[in-house]
Amino acid sequence: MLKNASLNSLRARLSAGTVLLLAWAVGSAPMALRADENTLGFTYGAETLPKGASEVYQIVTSRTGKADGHYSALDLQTEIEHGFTDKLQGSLYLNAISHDISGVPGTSDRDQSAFNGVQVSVKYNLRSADRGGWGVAVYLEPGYKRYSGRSGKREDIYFLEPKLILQRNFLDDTVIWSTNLGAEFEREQDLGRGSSHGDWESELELEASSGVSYRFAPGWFAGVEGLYKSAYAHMQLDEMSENAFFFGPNVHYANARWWATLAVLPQITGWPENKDTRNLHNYEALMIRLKLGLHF
Amino acid sequence: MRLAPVFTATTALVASTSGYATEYLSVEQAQQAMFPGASLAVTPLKLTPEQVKVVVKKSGVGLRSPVVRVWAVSGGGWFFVDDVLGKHEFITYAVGLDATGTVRGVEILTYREAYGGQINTPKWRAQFTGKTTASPLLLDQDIANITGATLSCRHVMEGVKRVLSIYEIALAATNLPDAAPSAAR
Repeated sequence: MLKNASLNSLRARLSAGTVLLLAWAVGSAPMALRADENTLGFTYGAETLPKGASEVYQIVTSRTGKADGHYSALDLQTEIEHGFTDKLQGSLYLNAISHDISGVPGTSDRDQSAFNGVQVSVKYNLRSADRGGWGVAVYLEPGYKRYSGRSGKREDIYFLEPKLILQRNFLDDTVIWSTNLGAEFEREQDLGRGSSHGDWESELELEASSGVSYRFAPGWFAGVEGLYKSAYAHMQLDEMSENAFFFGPNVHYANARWWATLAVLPQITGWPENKDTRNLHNYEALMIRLKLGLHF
Repeated sequence: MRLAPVFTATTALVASTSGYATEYLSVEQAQQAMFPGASLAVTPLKLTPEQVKVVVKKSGVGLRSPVVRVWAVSGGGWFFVDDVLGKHEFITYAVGLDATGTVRGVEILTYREAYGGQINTPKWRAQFTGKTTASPLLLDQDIANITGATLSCRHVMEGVKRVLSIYEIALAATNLPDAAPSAAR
């Protein structure tokens, strides 16, 4: 954990880094490569980069709001993606996380930012939606995290996340519909303070997301997206511990040099309910994600 | 909070976005490339609602406007300029047909996408030469796909199919006018 003295410095660096990345995007000369761009914030499309093509992404996700107290978390991911064949692409992610929590029942107050591990992913395109009809891809993402995304506690978390990705384009490819069905297998250990490490625990999370995006002007897409998340203790499907459903709008812009996607997903409903119909103990009231992609 | 600088920068970025286009040929250059030395006359053509229906049904491709940009070529033949969607922007292309409605050539005039510019290679465009309304015009069947530019390949191919259908429905039975050089090229 970082001390408060260095906290502001790190945040400033994170923000400055993102701004610099944007400035680089503006200043970069146009290069004739291709994009596996995301028109949605939380749902992937089925396309992959062609062989030899590369992209860099910056993904910023803000998670805010609990039933009581102040809760604000920020996930920062820098991703480098490369097409190994015309149908197989791989990615490397470097992650950072920030928490600003005070007065949230059941969660320790903390104000910290830190490096949060790495993950890799592979995506294999079985069929391209750009040819017409269904696009299908399979995705696998193993990784390691150093902090609980929820509480900010120091933990060792190993995870494996497979996904099935479906995509279909309509109306002369101006409407793109994507759906992801995924699971996340986690093994985690609470490192606590000093040498009092907890036992290793297992958890299964299931996730389904779907969204549609419409090209309303050259380079511009807008749409809506839904995301359902649920968690199961001990990886047993009959031991669901929580779930939540998020739904909201998104907007996407792309030009020859870069693209950006902004998605705003408030929680609509969740279980167990602890604030009107929502589960604000395990999940946040609002998620906002900004993705930037640069072709090179 | 901490996202404020990110959103500020994004807003500035979006506000500063400017179009990017590669202009390969002007209309006049494409006309001379396909019909060297010929004179071309603008031929006003607006499809009737019935013709639009038939063109869409026959080609399997939508039509954004019933107004067709077409020139009659002296000595026989037709020259079309059309737009199809790329991933984000329109691709402007030209199709030349000889007097029998056979594709004489395809030229990409303006390409505005970040990728897929390979559709302007002579080898890819040459696949269309000799195509008629009887040709299948299917990706990976008689027209090769370019990886990474699948959408552009498919849409240009479908555009050529639409042009051939327009010719068959609206122009095939037309007696060619005596084409004169047009000031409105």
